[in-house]
Amino acid sequence: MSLSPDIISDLKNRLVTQINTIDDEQALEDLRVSALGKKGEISDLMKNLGKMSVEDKKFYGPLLNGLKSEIATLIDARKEVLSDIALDKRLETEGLDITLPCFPEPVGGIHPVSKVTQEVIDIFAELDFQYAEGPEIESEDYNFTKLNIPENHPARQMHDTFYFPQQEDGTRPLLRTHTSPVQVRTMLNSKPPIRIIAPGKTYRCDSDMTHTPMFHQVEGLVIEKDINLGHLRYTLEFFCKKFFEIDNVELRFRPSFFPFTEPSIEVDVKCDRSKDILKIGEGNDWLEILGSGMVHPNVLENCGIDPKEYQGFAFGMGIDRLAMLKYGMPDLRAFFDADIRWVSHYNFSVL
Amino acid sequence: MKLPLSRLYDFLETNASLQEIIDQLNNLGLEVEDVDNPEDKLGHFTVGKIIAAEPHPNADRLQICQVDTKEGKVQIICGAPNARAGLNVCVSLPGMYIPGLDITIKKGKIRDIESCGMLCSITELGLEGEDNDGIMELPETAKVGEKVIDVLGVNDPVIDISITPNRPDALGVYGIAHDLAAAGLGTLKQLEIPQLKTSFDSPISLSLEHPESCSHFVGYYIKGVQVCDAPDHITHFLKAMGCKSINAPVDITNYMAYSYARPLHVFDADKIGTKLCARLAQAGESLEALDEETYQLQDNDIVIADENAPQAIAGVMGGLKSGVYETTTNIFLESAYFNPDYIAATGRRLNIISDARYRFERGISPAFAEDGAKIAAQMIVDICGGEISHVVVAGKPPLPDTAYHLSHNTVQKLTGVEIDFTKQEEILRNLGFTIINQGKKLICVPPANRPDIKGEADLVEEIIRIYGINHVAAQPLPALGKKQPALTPQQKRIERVRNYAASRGLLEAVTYSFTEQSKAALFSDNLLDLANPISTDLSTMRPSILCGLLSAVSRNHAQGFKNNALFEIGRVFHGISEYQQPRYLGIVKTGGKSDSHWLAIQSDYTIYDLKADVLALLDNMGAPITGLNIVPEAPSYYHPKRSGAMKLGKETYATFGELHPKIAKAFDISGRVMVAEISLDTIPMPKVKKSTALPKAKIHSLQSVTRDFAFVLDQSVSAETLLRAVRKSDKKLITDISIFDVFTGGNLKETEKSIALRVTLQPTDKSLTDAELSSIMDNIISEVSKVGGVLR
Repeated sequence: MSLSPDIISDLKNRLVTQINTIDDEQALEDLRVSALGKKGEISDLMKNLGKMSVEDKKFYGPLLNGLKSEIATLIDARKEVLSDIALDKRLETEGLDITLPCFPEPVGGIHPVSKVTQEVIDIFAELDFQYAEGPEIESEDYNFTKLNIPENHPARQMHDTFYFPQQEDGTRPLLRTHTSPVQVRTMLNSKPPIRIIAPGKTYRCDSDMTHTPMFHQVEGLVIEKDINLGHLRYTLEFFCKKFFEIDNVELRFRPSFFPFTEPSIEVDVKCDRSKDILKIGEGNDWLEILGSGMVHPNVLENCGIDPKEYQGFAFGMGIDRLAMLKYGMPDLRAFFDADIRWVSHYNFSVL
Repeated sequence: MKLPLSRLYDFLETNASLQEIIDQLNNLGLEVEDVDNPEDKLGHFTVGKIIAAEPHPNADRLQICQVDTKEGKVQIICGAPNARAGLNVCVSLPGMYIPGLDITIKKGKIRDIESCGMLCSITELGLEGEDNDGIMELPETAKVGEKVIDVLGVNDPVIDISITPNRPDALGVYGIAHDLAAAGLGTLKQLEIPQLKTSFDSPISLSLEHPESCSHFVGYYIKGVQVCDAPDHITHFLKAMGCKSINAPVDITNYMAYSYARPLHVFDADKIGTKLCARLAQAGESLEALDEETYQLQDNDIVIADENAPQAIAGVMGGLKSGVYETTTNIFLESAYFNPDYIAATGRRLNIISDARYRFERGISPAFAEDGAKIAAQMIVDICGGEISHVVVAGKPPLPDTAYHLSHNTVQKLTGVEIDFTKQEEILRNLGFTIINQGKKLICVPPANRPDIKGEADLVEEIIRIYGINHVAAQPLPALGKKQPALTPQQKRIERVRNYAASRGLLEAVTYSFTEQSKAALFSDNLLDLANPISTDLSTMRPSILCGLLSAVSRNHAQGFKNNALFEIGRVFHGISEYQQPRYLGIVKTGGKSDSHWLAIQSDYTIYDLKADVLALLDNMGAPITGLNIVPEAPSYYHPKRSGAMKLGKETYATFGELHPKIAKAFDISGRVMVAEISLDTIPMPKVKKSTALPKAKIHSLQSVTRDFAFVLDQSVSAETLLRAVRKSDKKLITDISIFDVFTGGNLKETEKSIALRVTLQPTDKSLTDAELSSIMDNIISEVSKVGGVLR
């Protein structure tokens, strides 16, 4: 076959036209083989180069090589266009409905009692209180006698105690009616200065709208050399501000009676009940929140602490009640039912 | 304790308003629980006078009344037959609330004629009384516009006070008045003890047999009485106190209890013998008391007995037969001091609740036995007539003789409030203390009516109570020398694992620590029953943390909520010692994460979900989970073939698996229930690390190699056994083994299973040669063959 520039330019024109009109990746590959393959048209033309004169070679060599690379480039470019078109086409068919719901991950949470307990511990930790605990089945000695509540005293009856059957040694174990036995244990086992916060389960044989036979209490105890009621007031104000997340709080002390404290004080917090939602720290109403007082000298003595040297205060309040006041749960009894709707609603996320 | 204001004024002269009295009571520690003030409910009802009453043209029974009211003349249609011109009536005008009818009056037309109010009957005001088919007829002396409650004499607010057990003195109106006066709210009226005209010796004599229980016994014989009803001021008072009126002598004893906290008893002197003795009961004695119940007495009950038998359970309740009734003509009035401990024990054992017991067991004033009897005796003869004998007395009053010292700085030391020492002395004197002032020290003998005063701290309380406890000002806590962390490591990790469990999608529950005995028995033979449970379904301490959770899941199922993922942290109870109340974390899961869902990747919870939970939580607590043995040793309330225990040595850290279907059935839960229990107290604390630095990450530059195997094993060979065999074959290079298929059936024998696993080998210093690789694979196959596994 004889070579002429026209042949080359015709081939080029034809191939360019073909490349630009092909819209199928396989056809483009076939064209590449038929043009650039070993037996392809350009290769065929290049076979002529061997037989040519040096001059012709100089002329046709660059021309043919130029054609080869130009066509290769065009095919590559066309290939990319075609692959983009193919991808677009595929994507078009792959649509998903983004509004479909995803698979629900179960949401966990901690119980309001745990939440409030953690909050209370954290707040008192700021005042250097330590978290103290004790068993829930206790002795009469720790629950009553050491706390200056004698056998026949009406105060002992007021506790509505759950008892276990009398033991062989004559003692009657009981479910602690308050977390005060933890105070007893702490005083018996450590030396002042003592600053503890003791949250936990407590039990009384009582059940109505506002009482459940099991409930949660938190008690605080501070025993040092010069602790007085002023420190109690400070501690409680500090707690109320932090717990209820308010800047100001007004407390009212009322003299009261607890066998284990003298003087004994009930503490009210100023609140507003005029609207549906109770607001602590505003208004003109009072809400009783806790009992407290200076630890009775008899209690200190019973627990191995010299009342002439040390003194201090104790206080106790209901954790469940704090939870209800802060987070607005209406009914105490629902706290312990573990109704899935209740725990789903009132439990707290931990993250 | 109810406090009608009118009775308070019997003892206290004061100009204080009701609100001031309430506030002061609260400040004194006499907590006001409630105030029933007729003014609040009925103060808006005023007197009106009917000027004219004419028949209603459209209704036979109605009258058109022109009424003169505080707001001028108004027209009111009235249906009462007694409405007539000239009558003083109780008027309510539009906008006023009628408590007896629970309506608010509106202006309106009755049968076409305008009516601008209502004329009220006594019951329409919510007051007790007879309507006699008509409106109230108020006295002619009443003035138009005057408050009806004033005209009726019922404008007497009643304050309900919660009296703490240390204040027996405040169980009488006089004691409360005394406290208010000491606080400066008024002047206490001088108590007048009548000079009795006594004219004869009592035919009844008194004696004491047991001074420890009864040390003072006083009596008056009153002859020739005519038992009648008590006058209104006494019966009204009793009614306000919630006490039924019987007859004058009995009512007077109750009046004495409520007025002076001095319980007394009256006997029909003709129904008892002539020798009354306060003694302990003898076993076998019994008494039919005034409540018509017969009580069996024991040898620590105090009784008032005559020659033959007990006639009263002393300080608790009198006998039915010797009581005073209309037929009584001779009375024996008894007044005594009984030891509070005895009264409390008897009252509690016999379960008798009486005003006398309530006061005696809290401690009455021993000084007031004779004076109280004198007041009552005089009242009885004033009302019922008769003559009073000379007093008969046995023993003497156990008056307080212990003195307590108050140092000048004690009040300041305990309360932080500085009160002038002379002011302190004045307060105590006003409260009735007898005081010797020694300059820097007061020596104080408490008044007889304050048995609660037993030490210096009590004196401080009295002083700050009267001075005003709200003088206590906040003082920051002193800094501590040596600070301790608030939480111990164990406390910290329990709070952490609680939060972690919640973050894994578990909802925390708090359930009762006690449960039904039959339910508890499903978990243990060793049960702790309460002696006095509140109900049978809360009678036994839970032996497993699962008890309450399963009851909750059962209720949730009944409500239609089948998907449950709950956990609880709490104590379980194996015995009464503090070491037999360990803490557990329990998990219960039923159903799955979701009901049917279009993604369809939902499946019900399996024991492997629970295993994953347990391992994750144990890991969170720092338990050495890679060294744990997982063995089929869960308790019998688990499915015998779908449960396990995670142990280290002999210690069980956790059990998990499917609940035994029988237990699920007992809790009325259908479907499979997945449960786990983690023993929080047995897991050792992880070792304290010496440094905060983490171990170096093992990131190798050489590529790891994986090889897959499938072994046929006997069904009884556990996956753990297989994994251990593989691990053992090369402890250095094998870094991971994952089981990707477990297969039974097909051409395997029924006793066989196939486990397919992928082993990852990680060369550390040089790539593995083919020879090395095949030698490792041979080792694996050989180790597995030792546990009976054959390469498939």
